[in-house]
Amino acid sequence: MSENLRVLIAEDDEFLSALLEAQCNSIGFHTHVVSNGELAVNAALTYQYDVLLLDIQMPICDGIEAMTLLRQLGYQRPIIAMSAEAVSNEGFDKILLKPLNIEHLSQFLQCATIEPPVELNLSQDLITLFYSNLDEDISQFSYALEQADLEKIARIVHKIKGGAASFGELTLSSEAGKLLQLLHQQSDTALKQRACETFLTTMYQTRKHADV
Amino acid sequence: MSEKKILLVDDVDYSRQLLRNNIITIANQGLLTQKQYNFFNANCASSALSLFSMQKPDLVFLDIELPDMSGLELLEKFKKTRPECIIIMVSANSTLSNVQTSLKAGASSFIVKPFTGDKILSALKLFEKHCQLAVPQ
Repeated sequence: MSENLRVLIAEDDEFLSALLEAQCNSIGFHTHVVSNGELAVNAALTYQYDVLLLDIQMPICDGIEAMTLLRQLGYQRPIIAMSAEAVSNEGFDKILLKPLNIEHLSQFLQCATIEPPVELNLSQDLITLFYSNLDEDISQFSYALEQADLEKIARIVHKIKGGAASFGELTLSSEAGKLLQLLHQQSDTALKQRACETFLTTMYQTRKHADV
Repeated sequence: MSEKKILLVDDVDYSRQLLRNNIITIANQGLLTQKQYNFFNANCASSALSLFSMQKPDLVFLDIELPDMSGLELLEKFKKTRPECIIIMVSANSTLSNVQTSLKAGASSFIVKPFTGDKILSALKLFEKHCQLAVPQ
């Protein structure tokens, strides 16, 4: 049952993370690699993984801190520690010693009970509500762009970033995230303006392709 | 078992609706002990404060970005008034400092948008744990 598992790898050593990723891919896992505990917490809270592989010694936030925070927040999926030394397994589902033996990981995951993800229920009414909101957002965004009101634009983009991905509009959500980053930077206004125009086109295209 | 009151605070109407629909779906799937919920909706902090005081919810899903007040400020007000109320923060931004600040201010968990069924289920299970209710196997 372990094929096609979505695995988050948090490892600050580039060589080890590349090796582990290749090993995981070779047995059919889908992987996402991050390089510290903070990014691991962000990724685990944002995306849906079947299992987390956390190195213990990482910068900014180590594997134990990341696991403790996630468990405190109610995170229930398996979290596996990777360590060169013995560590307490409290909060972890398994401790694997480094260098990691991919067969040990595979064996553990074969035996582990990994619950299937709970599907999001999106009724037609809810989908219609989302796209009618998007129509309104497009109209308000266009007006704010004419007025060069970047604060208002940022509020609309923030709303879209949070909402669009739940409705399967991953490109729109991802582009919203990139635009938000740019809007929060100290870059020049002309650059921000151009990025906003591009985003407006993406919004129009998303709306055009939606069958609602 | 008595009905639990849930207050949904978000200025985006489809986010509130999505949460409500999915809480009901998850409860109907038998994944929770609690089956009956009564929902209250607030699209801004002032409406949330008024509903919080009148309805005394057991659980609040609170978006950090509200038009009239920061969700973190509202969280502090809620916890000061009724510390026993379980509050789940919701945000499209998952910076570690946002999460840690929320926990320090008394939030029980933090959901990062986009919503998924797993995230909503985890929050509800945490709520049940806090209520010391046994979750069926």
